[in-house]
Amino acid sequence: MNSAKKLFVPWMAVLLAGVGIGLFTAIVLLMKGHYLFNANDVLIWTLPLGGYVFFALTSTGLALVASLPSVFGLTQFEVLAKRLVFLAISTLVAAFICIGLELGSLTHMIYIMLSPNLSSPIWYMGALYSLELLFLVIKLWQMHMGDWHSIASRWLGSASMLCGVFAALMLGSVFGLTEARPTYFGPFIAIFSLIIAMLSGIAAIILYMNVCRWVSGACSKQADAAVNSLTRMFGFMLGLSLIFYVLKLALASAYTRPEFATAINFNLVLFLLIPYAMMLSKRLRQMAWAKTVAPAITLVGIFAVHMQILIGGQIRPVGPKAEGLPQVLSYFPSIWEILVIVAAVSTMLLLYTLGERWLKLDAAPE
Amino acid sequence: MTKWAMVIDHQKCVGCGACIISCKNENNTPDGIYWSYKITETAGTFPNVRYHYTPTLCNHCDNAPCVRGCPTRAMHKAEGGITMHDPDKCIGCKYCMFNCPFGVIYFNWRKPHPEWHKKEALIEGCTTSPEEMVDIVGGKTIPYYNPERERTLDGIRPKGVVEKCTFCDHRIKKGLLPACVEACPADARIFGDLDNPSSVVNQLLGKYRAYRLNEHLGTQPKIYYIRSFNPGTYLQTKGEVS
Ligand code: SF4
Ligand code: SF4
Repeated sequence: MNSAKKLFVPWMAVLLAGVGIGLFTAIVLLMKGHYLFNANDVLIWTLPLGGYVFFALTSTGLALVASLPSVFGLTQFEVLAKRLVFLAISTLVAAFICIGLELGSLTHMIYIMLSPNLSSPIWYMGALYSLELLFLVIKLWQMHMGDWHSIASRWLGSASMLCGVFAALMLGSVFGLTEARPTYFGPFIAIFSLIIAMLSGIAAIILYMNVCRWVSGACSKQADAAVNSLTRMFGFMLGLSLIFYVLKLALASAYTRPEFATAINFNLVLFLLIPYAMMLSKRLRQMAWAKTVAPAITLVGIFAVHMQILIGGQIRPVGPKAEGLPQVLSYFPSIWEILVIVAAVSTMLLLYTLGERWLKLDAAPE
Repeated sequence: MTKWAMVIDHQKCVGCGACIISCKNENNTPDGIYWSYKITETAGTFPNVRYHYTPTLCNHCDNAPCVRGCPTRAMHKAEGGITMHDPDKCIGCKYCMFNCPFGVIYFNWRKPHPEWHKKEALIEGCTTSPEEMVDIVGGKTIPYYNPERERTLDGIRPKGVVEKCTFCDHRIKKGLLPACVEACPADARIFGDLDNPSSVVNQLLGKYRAYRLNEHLGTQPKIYYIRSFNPGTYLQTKGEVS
């Protein structure tokens, strides 16, 4: 506890510096423009968008696990529910920061409400994630007030779960509905997104609980049983995600163009395979270090998979945009893109830290 | 109902790029943004090689994926089947660029025409600065500014939104042909109404077998390509086995 107290001030200073850098980045981007990104008219969406996909889907996963007790009656997860809802909110805020700084014109955002396009997956995704944020905040408030089992609270649980499921499916559809890009595979990618969302959510909460315990000795011991059940579920979701990822690679190499199935794609399998192998062992499943390392590798892997899918679909110039460019473009993020991620991660961790300190996240129904 | 379309005759096109330049002048497009452009390809194995030049522009697809996906309806279908864009509603998400299978939408990554905002004289004590030049000529941002473009769209689109070909809707409304069609010295671009059975466009489509780009995607493009330029000949032969 003491070391946690000693660390608190420097940790907060680092996070506040990150948030400050984020504000500065936002101002520079809005004033100067997105030429500061290593994007161009061929490679349109880059690291900030990858960050958005990662945080948004992780938030969905956290919210889905949070809804297990209220929607499916899995009461063993009630001890984690409040923390999960809070983490889902903070992670979604990080996603909104990434997408906000990716957009060219924030002032025109009002037209999302005034002139909605009901055939656009982006519109549905935006609407569903905004609704989800609202539901999650109300749910957190209810839990904070000690209302766990009222009808309104159950209703909210179901509503935020449905929002999460459809938001993840819509996020996948943003890619899946682009006939113009051969590697985004229609409906497949929407289902893949939902599975990856669940995997990221479970990995994030297991990692969080272990780090929280390690850093501050906080995060109630009562949650141990719940975390152990989640660890088994984690192994199962890793297996399922592996199957889907390999299926995606098979689709890429067999049904579209063989050259899309690059070595990078196959290397990324390792990020799921190694933690999967670790979680197969009962002994490792009970060891704190393994329960920290496996979800950490998974989250890094998931982020890499998102980036690979995102960039892989755009590196070949389409039509006249191929003029004067190589057949395949290469990409490395600019410092401004990295700063967007720094801003998102700092804000998210700042919220985590403040929430952990002030919001009694261990609370559970009597 | 009018449905505007264009036929591009490969046999007449000499690849001079006049369409590209006239479009830039007409629509005040910044450096690096081409509403009208080209695909150039070399095919074959040396020494048996050939060269293809395909002029491109927005296909004003009937079933336009850019329109379907735009979250704010900034990209929309307008009179005559033209795919139009409203910069005021555009949030700069770039999803239309992602969705367009023809690669004809561009993003304003920076303040347009940055070179004309410079305050330093080109040659100190001798020439004006670019910004002074714009002031003297009375252009907006660029000295060769075409105010006609403002009739239906921002004359110059701001940073942070996309832009693309509008079939020169501001000219069509005045009974004029699109600038690229007007400028083509070989009359390789033929413009007209697909819904008028006797339009020249329909006459040509009746006479020649046409193809459209990425037809298999079902977007119903309205730019048709006919004939191919090949003045060469070859000795009559049945080929060989070995
Ligand atoms: S060519 Fe591209 S921009 Fe033009 S209508 Fe078709 S999809 Fe839209
Ligand atoms: S960039 Fe603008 S026009 Fe294109 S999809 Fe987004 S909001 Fe619509």
